[in-house]
Amino acid sequence: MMSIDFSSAPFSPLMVVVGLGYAVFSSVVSGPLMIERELENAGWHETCQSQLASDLQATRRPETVIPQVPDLGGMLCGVYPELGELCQLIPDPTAAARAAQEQARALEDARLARATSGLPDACSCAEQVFTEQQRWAVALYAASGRLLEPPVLANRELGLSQALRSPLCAVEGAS
Amino acid sequence: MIFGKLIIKGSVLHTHRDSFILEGIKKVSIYRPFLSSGVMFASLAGLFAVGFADILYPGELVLLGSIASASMGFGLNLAQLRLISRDLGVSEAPDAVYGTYAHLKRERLRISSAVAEAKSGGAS
Repeated sequence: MMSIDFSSAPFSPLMVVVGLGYAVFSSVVSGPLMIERELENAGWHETCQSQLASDLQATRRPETVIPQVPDLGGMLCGVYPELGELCQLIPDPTAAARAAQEQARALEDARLARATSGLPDACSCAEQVFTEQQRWAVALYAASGRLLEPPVLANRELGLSQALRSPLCAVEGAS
Repeated sequence: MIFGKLIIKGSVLHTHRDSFILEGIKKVSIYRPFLSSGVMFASLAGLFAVGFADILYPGELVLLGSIASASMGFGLNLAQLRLISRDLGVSEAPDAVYGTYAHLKRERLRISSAVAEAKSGGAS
């Protein structure tokens, strides 16, 4: 097998090792770290969480409309307090519906609260997924000391919001 | 500073691994084997530090500066002695003797004088 003569090459083998090491370091350590700090400085996490929170509020299920039926018992007792016993016998026709509405509202509030508590995780997940997906662009950006900024990083908000909507980062209880 | 041994006794140069008859040595040179990689490493560290200076912590900037200076210093100062033999071409010796550039430069003058002396002594 013919051996490679590195002495005639315009670069030393050690330079290749240094270059490869720097590329790997940029891809695994420095790139993701710099992107994370840039996003932190740009306040992306706060923007992400407030955007998700408003999206969540938009998913709030509409409350059922309770027909306006007069509470005859209540009205009667209001006018004639001495007919209290009779009033008790006349049921409030919307009481059950109102109780059901209260229960549904409580459930919906609980769902939204649960979903809202998962928002920071979703934003971190989106950041992680984006960095993973754009590993080489991130590495190039970090290795060049910002001299080279691939378009996908120049429009990082778009990529991040796509990552945020990916099934991997779905907010629990958001739907 | 020298890593290894470099002793001239009479017309023979002894390293910690080999001995060379000075008469057969055609050329004594020193070169910096890590200069290109050291400069490259220092440049990359410097480029990174300058590019991301706004989001690096002061400690990290100091660390990067130290790494760049150290690798530049390492590349500039670490040298290797290369003996070119009349019979063997580039000898095995370069792999044996490393040291600081300044020290090996002084050794080079000493060895080349000894080679010249050995050759003139052999001719007479």
